[in-house]
Amino acid sequence: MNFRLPGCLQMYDEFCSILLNQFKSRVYEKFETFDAALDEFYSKIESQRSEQQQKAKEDSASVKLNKIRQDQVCGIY
Amino acid sequence: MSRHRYPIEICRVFERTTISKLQESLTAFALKDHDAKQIEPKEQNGGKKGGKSNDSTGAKQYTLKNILGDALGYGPQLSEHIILDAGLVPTTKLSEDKKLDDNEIQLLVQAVIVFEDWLEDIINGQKVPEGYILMQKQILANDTTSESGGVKKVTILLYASSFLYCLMAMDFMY
Repeated sequence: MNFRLPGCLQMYDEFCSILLNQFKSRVYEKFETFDAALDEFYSKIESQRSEQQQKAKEDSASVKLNKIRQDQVCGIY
Repeated sequence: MSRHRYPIEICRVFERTTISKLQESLTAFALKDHDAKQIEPKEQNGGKKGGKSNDSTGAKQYTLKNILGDALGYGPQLSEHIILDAGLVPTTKLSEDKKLDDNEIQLLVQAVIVFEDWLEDIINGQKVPEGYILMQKQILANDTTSESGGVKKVTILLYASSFLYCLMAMDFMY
């Protein structure tokens, strides 16, 4: 039920071979070579995306459930 | 990344940007306005902000980022990077009346040289480029599970994050 793996919070956004000045304030991970960065990016991005979608689904389901629960509680009293 | 089609038609052999060419494009952009108008109808954001000061001459104000981007041909992101490297503001609006001074042009020329030094080393294989992976802005996953309001906030946060980064980057500069 609880879906808070540490890796789940960090989602890759994009990659580059030179750290652009406009990105310096963002959270980034540095690799020795561009190849290594690409390997890492594409080996994880798919699973990160599906994890995020899964999490979104779970969240929306639990919101619905809570709403129904609340409605029913209100109906009883 | 793959948000846009890769513009293979502007593929070309690497040539260093000469100082004179750069100076020319940074100072004499009045001529270019005419050509650029048809090519760049997508620059809506620049037009929206510059709209208030446009007068009867119809001269569109271009940002430093647009102009340098056209002059160098490395794309808008690298154009912005180089301008920031030079310590200037990419969104500065330039027009006939408001041009860069010599000092600013020199700063830009230096920044372009620094970048092209790096690029040349990479092309010649003397240097292996480093890699950087940028993360998406972290979502506070702690208190979103129960409240419906929380979920809404997260979605808005997601959409607003790129905008916030722009603001943050600007804040850092000032």
